[in-house]
Amino acid sequence: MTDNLIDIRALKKYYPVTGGVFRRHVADVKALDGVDLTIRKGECLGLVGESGCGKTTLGKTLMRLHPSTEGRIYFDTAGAEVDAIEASLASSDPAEQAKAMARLREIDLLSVGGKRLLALRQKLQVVFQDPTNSLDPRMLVRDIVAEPLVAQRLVDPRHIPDTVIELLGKVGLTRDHLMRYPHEFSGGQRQRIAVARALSTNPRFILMDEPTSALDVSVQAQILNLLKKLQDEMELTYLFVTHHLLVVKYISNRIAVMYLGKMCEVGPTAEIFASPRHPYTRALLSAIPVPDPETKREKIILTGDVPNPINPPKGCRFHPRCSYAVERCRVEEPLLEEAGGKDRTVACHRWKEI
Amino acid sequence: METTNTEQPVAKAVSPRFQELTFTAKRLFKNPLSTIGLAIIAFFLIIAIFAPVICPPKYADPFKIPHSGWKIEPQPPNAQHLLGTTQQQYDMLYGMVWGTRGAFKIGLIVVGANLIIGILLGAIAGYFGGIVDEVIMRVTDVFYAIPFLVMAMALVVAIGRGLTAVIIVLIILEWPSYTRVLRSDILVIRNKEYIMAARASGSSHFAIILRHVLPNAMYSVLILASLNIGTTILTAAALSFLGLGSETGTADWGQIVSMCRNWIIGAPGNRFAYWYTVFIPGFVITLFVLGWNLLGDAVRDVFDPKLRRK
Amino acid sequence: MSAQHLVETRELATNFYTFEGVVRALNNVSLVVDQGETYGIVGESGCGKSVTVRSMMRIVQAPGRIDGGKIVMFLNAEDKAKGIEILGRTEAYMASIRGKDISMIFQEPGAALNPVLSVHQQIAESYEFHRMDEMLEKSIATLEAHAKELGGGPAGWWNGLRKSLLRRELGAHKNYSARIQTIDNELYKLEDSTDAASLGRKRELNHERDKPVRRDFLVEFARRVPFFARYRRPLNRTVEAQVIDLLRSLGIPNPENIAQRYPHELSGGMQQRIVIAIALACHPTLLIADEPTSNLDVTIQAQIVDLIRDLKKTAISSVVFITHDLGLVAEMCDRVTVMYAGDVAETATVKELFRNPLHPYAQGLLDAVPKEIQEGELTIIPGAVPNLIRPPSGCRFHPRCSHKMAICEKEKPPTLELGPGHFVACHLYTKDQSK
Repeated sequence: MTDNLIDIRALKKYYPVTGGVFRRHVADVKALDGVDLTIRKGECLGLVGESGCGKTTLGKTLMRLHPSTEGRIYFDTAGAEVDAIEASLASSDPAEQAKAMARLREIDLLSVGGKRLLALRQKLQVVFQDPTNSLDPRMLVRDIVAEPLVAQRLVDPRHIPDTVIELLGKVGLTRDHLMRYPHEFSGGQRQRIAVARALSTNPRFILMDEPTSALDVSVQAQILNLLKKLQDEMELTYLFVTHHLLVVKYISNRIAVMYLGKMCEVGPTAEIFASPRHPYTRALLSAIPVPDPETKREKIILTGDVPNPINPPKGCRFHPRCSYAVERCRVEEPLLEEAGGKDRTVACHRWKEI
Repeated sequence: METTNTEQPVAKAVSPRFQELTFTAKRLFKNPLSTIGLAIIAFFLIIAIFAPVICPPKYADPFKIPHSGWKIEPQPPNAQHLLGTTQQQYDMLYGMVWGTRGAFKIGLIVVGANLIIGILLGAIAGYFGGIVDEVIMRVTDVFYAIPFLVMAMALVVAIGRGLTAVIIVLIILEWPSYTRVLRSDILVIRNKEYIMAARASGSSHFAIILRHVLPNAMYSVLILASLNIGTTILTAAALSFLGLGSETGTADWGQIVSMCRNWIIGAPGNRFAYWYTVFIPGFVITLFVLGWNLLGDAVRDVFDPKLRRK
Repeated sequence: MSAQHLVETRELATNFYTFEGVVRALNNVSLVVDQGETYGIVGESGCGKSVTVRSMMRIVQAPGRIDGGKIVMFLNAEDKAKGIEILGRTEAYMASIRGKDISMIFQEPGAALNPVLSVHQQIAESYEFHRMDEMLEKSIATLEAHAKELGGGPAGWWNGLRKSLLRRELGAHKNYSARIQTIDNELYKLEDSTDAASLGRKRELNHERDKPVRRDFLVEFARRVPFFARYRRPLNRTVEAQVIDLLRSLGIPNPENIAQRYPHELSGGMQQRIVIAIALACHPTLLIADEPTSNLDVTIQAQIVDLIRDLKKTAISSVVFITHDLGLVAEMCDRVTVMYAGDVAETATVKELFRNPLHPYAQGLLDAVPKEIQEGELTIIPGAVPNLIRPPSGCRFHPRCSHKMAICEKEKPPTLELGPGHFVACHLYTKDQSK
């Protein structure tokens, strides 16, 4: 079994909702409500789900762009140590717990600060959805790509132009593009610039937050192929957040399906597409429009909308829309459990019967 | 792989920043009104620079207007005094020429100081938000709640009259509008993805404000500043006219209008007997303010994001 | 192919006069939508698919302008023979067919709905604009049914007054419709004549056409006086019942409640259904759907697509479906046009296009999409969509085309029919190959 690069444990992120004249805290939007997820070295993990399911929040929390409410994220920590810390945290001995907490302050991605955080930032990078928004319109390509290098003082300022040219080369741009503004480029080229910026610190992990959703179909394929090539060449690990399931299928090794702040199902791409176990995954997969008029598939059309995350349904969060729901689903919350086959987990009471 | 579009030149000889600048300048000169505004400001600037040549000062303090005699009645334009004299025979031309220097001084110092204060507080309030934002914004609310001219007069009296007092008071009273405008722009910008990308890059808050937030948020404040220079001069002139600004005999436009206050109604039987006492300083002030307003409009047009290329 | 045409564009050219220069968005686009079909238009951003349908509805916004070509509609039984050329008609004529004969739904339901009007008010607007006669007749009928129960006395008198006021209003509307009908008929006859006399007559008629409904004095008075204005309540109730019926027929749960809500209280999927409800209020012949599901989630998209497909079977004759998602095209459409940079590249039945794409761009587009079963890498189309201020000469696709020939830079390729109903505009194919 390959090692984990990122190990997310019991991650929660609540956004407070304030009301009234004095802006009192009245409720929480439970964007992430206890998420466990592991990302393995060198893989591309596809994170799918509908809008509001918390997939973007998960990414941003992982990048420390938002503070988290609760939980731990281990980055490149040996599995044995993670287990040890988790065991200590769960134990009732206060001394043991304190020791684990102290260790967490050194390694937990969510609690480190200062220089340690800066060092981690070097290894974690991000590419956002819309390159029109993620590139500062008043900066030259050279300055945009070099920004992480300058911020973290990784390269001698004199070598910056050469370094940037090398990075541009990797993403298929040339030195001619160095002294231009983002508005002079097409959408696809802008996304290449954003990728070059993410590559500049020589990271180990890149969060792809819907990197192709804002692009045209013909350009999307260019970027997907580029990302694949870069992953092989630079031994990168991706977390690929998207709602486009066929794109995920093309690029990822494993898939994690989220619904309303919780993981529904995690497993290898091919297996999930071949035999989805969670009813939500099934509905999601059957809803994909297939670019082939000859195949007609039976669709599962879900009724209703995604519920409000301020007040999620009790029990299994999917039960109001699920056609297999029974009394148990309304009362008891299903946990992620091993489900038939290597590395497949699913959070459903009835996956065996379905 | 994506290739360079063929219509784009392969290499550029001039720096792109310079290109951006020339583009802006071209836009500025395209509009005839803004060209007029620029010409007016340039005209006043030349007068201010060459003031010692046009009207060589007589006293150690060049802002003291030389006067020939103490005769009360103003004199119309003549060979000795090209624009006539005010009461007590202060030379009008000298007043206008050196008053230009004074006007630039007031306008630029007040607006410059306001820009600095407004940008500093606006950036802090807008970027960090929370309690700091709340405090700064409530302070600006207090300033907005008090009638401007009344407050200005009260403060000038409290500090002690004089041009310096006027400058200080205008700085104290005008910064809130800059702070507000900048803050509202920053509130939009701080949620852009490039700010997040910069944070993910490891940039410090200070670096983000300096490199990303301010360059993108500056435009409305700059537009406000260029439009505000005119109003600032008007307010300063009004305070001088009310007798709260400079002393009698100082080369200050408002002060000169004030000196001609008694002659506005003219002589019995001839209402326009002393027309030049009101017309000349009034015209100069109007022209100066008009120049800045035209220029401000032009600046706004140039920076208007709807008109700028994408 | 003997299907009856519904809308035809001939050599349509729409330009946008921007600060940067003239954007040549449509480069002589000719296409035909038939009665009873679902017609797909696919292409990337800037290919002109939205501009084409906006031109069809004549809702191209400034700085855009339709500079050339013809749009012919075959909407009513009597003008099916020749069709009506709508670019020559007045704005009032367009307003009378928009929403009634052709409706449009947009990508962003949040922006298509007015935030300060309730759902009911927005749908009712369409009934009151296009189907006033019918609504009035229904209300009068209800009042008549009540008349017997009420008998004489003040209640009966009030009922009678309401009835007569509504009848007067109905009379005015009927007169108006009849007048418009005669004007439209005469215009239709004159359409092709170009001599000075008929041109003058046309101008006169168009002017007459733009005049609004003239209500009589009593009705005007009653509408403005607080108490008497209540005579319209039966009408409002009729419209409300219609709105709720419509919402129910679209499968919206709890329509009474939804009708009273405001757009911001509804989810994106529900908003899009309301937009569809507004579009369908008057049973249009043609529904134009401009990327109706691009901003919705996959499961909600499936709901909406299912709804449109059902409606196609029951309520509407033809659908023009615009999208960039080839998967949706494959599922929804009968025939499809692939557009590129303001040109029509290829038109064929869906099966034919997916099985045997002929235009290099259509081929590239199909290969660039991840499939259900994807083998190896995705094939890509190099380069990016061109800027249409300075579009490439000749065939606009030539800079990105792998089959580029010398002629492609010089001449715009003619459209050839290479199979039954399979049209391609590409220099790779010659007249000899066409049938």
